[in-house]
Amino acid sequence: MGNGSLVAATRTAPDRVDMTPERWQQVKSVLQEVLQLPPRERKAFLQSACENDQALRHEVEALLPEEGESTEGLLQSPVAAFIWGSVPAPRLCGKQRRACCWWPIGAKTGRIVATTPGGTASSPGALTVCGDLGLREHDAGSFQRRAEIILPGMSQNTPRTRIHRTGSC
Amino acid sequence: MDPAAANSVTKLLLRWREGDSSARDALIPFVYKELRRLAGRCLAGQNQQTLQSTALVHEAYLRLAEQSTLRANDRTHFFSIAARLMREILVDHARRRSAGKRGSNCLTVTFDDAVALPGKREIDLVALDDALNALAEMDSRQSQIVELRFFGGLSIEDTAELLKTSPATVKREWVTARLWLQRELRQTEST
Repeated sequence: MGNGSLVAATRTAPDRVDMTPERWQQVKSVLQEVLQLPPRERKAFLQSACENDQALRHEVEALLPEEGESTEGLLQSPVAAFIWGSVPAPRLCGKQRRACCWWPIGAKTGRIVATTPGGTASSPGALTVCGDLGLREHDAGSFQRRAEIILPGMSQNTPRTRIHRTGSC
Repeated sequence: MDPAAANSVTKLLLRWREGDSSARDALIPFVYKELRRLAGRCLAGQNQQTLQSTALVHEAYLRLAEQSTLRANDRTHFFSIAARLMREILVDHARRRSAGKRGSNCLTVTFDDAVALPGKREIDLVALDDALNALAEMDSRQSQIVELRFFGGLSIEDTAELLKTSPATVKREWVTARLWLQRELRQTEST
């Protein structure tokens, strides 16, 4: 599971340049507008928007992502899992094929890409957690819940399936 | 799980939904106790410990609340309390351990990839807390959004519902808050 982490340390915070709430609202407003633009258009926009306030321009520039760094990553859904694993053979339940798997607590929705043993990836299917089927402890206090998932792209003949799961909280 | 505690938590969430603001204060001891217990179990024993804060919050909810009688909105309210308490518990723990082991990084707390800062796998928890306090002085709503997302694992949509605003607004605030925090933490590292 890929995760970011926090590390506690003893350092104290650096002296911050005081910014009033009013000034922050100004900076934030320009920053939010700039982020809507493609990177190549940002410089011209800033020149125009901060024509009479170069300090404001510098504040915004200092916060902007670096060249080539996407801002999309800042908007993605919280990813609860990024795991390769196997699920039992899906079973037919009404018109939907379903399987049970362990899922991190907190995952509500997500996407699943299923791959047959031959290596052919099926079309990505939506994950629907159909219900909590229980809890189990996994890896030093991390809890998972057993949940039922719908696998719309799966064949009944597929004996086992390798899945690539991502989930969101 | 203590059935009496679950019953109390569920009743308090229902009272809170019906507008009884004192129910929120009454909930705090139950949630705090459970989160401390869960976090303590993860943090006990080793020098370098890892835990998933949002998983603990979810687990506390599963253990404390009788979900069948509650609505999605009650869950969000529970998480808003839990996010604040989780932050307090982790930062207190970090400060205590840091005091005992001066100069050492002694607590690792795992967050989901998307709520962690981009390209940042290790962040000073105490510095983050300081930065969030500074952000709250400039913009309390932004600080609250980060807290709910970081420590409570609330989605953009749930955060918007809780704060009675639109998901688009939460997204904008979330992005700019993270950029600001990123710069603050970078400055902390360089000193």
